[in-house]
Amino acid sequence: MIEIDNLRKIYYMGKIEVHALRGIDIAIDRGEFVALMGPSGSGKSTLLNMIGLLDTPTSGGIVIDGIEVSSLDENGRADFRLKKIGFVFQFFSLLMELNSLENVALPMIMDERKYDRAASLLELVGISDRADHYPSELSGGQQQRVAIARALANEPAILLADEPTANLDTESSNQIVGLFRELNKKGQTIVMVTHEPELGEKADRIIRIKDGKVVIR
Amino acid sequence: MKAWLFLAIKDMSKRKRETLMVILAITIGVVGPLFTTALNNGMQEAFVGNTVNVYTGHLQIQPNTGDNVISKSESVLSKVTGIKGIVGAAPRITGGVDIESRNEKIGIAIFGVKPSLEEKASTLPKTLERGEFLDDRDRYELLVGTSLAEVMKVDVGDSVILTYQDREPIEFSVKGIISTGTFELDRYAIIATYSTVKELIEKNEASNIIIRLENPEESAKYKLILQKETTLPNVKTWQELSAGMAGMIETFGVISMMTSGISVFVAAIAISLIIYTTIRNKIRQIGVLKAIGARGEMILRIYLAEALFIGIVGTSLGTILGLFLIHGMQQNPLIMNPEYGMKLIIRPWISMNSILAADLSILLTCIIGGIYPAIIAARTNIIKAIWSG
Repeated sequence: MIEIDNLRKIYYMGKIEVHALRGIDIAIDRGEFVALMGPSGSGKSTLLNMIGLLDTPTSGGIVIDGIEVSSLDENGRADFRLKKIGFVFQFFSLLMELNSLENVALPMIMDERKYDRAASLLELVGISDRADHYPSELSGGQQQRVAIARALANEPAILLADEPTANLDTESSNQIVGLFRELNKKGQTIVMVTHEPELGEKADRIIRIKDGKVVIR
Repeated sequence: MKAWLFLAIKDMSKRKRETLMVILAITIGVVGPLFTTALNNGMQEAFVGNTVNVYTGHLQIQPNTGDNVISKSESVLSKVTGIKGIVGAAPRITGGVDIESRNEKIGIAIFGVKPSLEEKASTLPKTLERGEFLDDRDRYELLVGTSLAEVMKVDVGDSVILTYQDREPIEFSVKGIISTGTFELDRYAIIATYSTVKELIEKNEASNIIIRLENPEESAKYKLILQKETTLPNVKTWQELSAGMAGMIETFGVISMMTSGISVFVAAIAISLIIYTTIRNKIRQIGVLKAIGARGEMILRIYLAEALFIGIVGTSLGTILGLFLIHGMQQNPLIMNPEYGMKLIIRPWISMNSILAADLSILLTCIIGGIYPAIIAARTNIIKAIWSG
């Protein structure tokens, strides 16, 4: 499903080279729920950004669903993100001018698909009664549920979550992770970055990263 | 519906107040150039139009160089009146006299006209303010301009004394007061019949012949025709004769263009600022949009669509408001009194081409003003945007 081969990422801060990833090799199977864990600055979010095609590697390859994505151009990467990847961010990343239903429908509208699934996705994440509410009218947990529904809009091959519970209270965090588990049971591949051990334990597998290298697979 | 259009509509409807403010700025930006152009046109018509209609004619045959009259002017007149495209022609004879009322005595120009011919060759008969216009058979009757009448303190029915050089003074009666809107005829001349002036100043031929065309824009073409038909070289077009006013009109034009330029600049800044501010405030949301699969060109389209929408609505409202103001001023024209009782009636007007030019330039400016911030949005780095704010 996801094959990462000797992935390296070097950032430049002025003349100083910062090695964020130092040769990562990972394989993630279809239907797996993987937690990427590690201390701050370990490179786990950088790795997630590479898998999600938000950033390009300095060297190495990433194959997702049989496609070598690191060679895609800008538009190719955007199209891939739209059709194959669902994102859930740490902060509540909804568009403020759209209500819940419109936020969920947006990826389908962008992909020029019918968006009648949007309502059932809101139901799936348990927030169908807030369909016409705007983000400012929702709690953090409710916003994150809408964001998960949006991430599932185009039936993505992978759901990527970057610290999805970092800004939530314990109850909301448990509900979100529970939701991830339910989705995973239905066959959804999930890669989640977290630094909370109790959340990581809910995943099938934990990949620990330190100083840009995988230390435990 | 396309995603970019959907998002543009949603974005603008969420920011109704800001959108309305920019639309208002664009509206004012359109009204400015439309109104100043119309006012400029109205002033041009008041100055040049009046002069051409009553004083110079569309074409004017003048004496040969060195002469002060047109020899065989009657024969020249008959040749001219037969030419197709010429509405009318009238000879005029001019000289200088002293005019004396009970209160004033001044030196002034006197024009001799043939009233029956003037009806077709000029709009002079239509400028009568009060009293009556001249008749071909009149002898010692005069027309006096509003401004001069005020200076001389005379009105219809009053008597004045005219003296030509050292001849015997002759008493004339004021038959009518005219208001032509020209300094030449309202303030510095009086008008009597051609035969009267001919006798008074002892000239046998016309000083000039004024000609009215069906289409004034063909003056250059008819100048050549007249030169050929009459063999007289000194035929002047109205453009040549009103060249003295060209500088003044050019100044109005420059002022009008500067006002238009400022309006266009304001429109560009307003639209650019609102879209740039929107983008700065929404940088994270733009990052999220790109993260979930929006191409750069889609982001570009969202903000260009907003600029275009604001531009179209602002331009349309500005055009409607501008035309409404112009129409209002046509119904209630601006009346200027530059000297004594002289009246200049300024009715603003604007051509369809000028409206289109103003609208298109503002619209284009809105698009250009929107392009820069839209490009910034389209090129936003996803990771930096997501982690901003």
